[in-house]
Amino acid sequence: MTAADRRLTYLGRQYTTECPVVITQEAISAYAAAIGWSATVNHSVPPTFAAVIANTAVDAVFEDPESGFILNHILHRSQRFVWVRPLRIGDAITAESTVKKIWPGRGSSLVEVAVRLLSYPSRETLCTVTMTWSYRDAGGPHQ
Amino acid sequence: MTTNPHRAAQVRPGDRLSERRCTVTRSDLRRFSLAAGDLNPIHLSDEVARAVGLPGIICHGMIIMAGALQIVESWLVESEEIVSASVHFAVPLPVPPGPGVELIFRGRVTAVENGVASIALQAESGDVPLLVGSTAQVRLSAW
Repeated sequence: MTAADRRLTYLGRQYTTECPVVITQEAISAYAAAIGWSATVNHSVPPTFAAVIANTAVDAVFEDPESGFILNHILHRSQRFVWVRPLRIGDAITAESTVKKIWPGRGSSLVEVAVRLLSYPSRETLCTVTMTWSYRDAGGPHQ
Repeated sequence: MTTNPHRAAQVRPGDRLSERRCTVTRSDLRRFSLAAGDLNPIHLSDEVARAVGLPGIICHGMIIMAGALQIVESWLVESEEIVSASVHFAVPLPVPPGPGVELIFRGRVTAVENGVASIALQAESGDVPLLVGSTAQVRLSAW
């Protein structure tokens, strides 16, 4: 089985974070400084911070040696968020990721991963984060 | 920022959001990698970026998306929030050493329906469009 075939078997695979991530003022300050962001009355957490939490359930894909996915072979192609409400400092959140689609191509594949962010412990959906990567096979071009 | 009871009636397709310019340097990329927990070395190492077919270190897509959403956040009035956003990255943005790259963000209202405004998002660097088919949806106040 080639590495590309092995990655195809990851379709539908789910990963869940075991511990909730708590949004702290320190984490938001560091992220806000990196993107030049200031809080408004509407948003006390940068909306895209949802991706930081979502990625805690995506890292597992790369930490799984059987997955065949290597982090530096990824190019971010698209990103979508649907927020039920803005995230807030103090929110405790768990993340559940699912590999939704893999479109194999010549030299690279497109991979779609969807992540649900859930309040902890009440498990209400706070945000849905969907990302698409171009995944480059060895020597192949990005799509 | 004040509450505007007629906001939903005042926002019209074609309205333009205030544009925003910013500069992104390699230091910004390092700061973002740390703050976002994004360890993909294509944002930190020319050597790794070139090994996977990129011209050199590239900007994180989420820095571009966060920049585009900031013009939407600045446009909101009290009790409004961004309910969804979706971007497609047109091309990787190389960030050379030194003064970095300048980015310009623009937004335009394309539709207002059921109290939700749709906004087309644009980002450019040196006249190169960085986003295609990218939008945000805002729930307007006093609907």
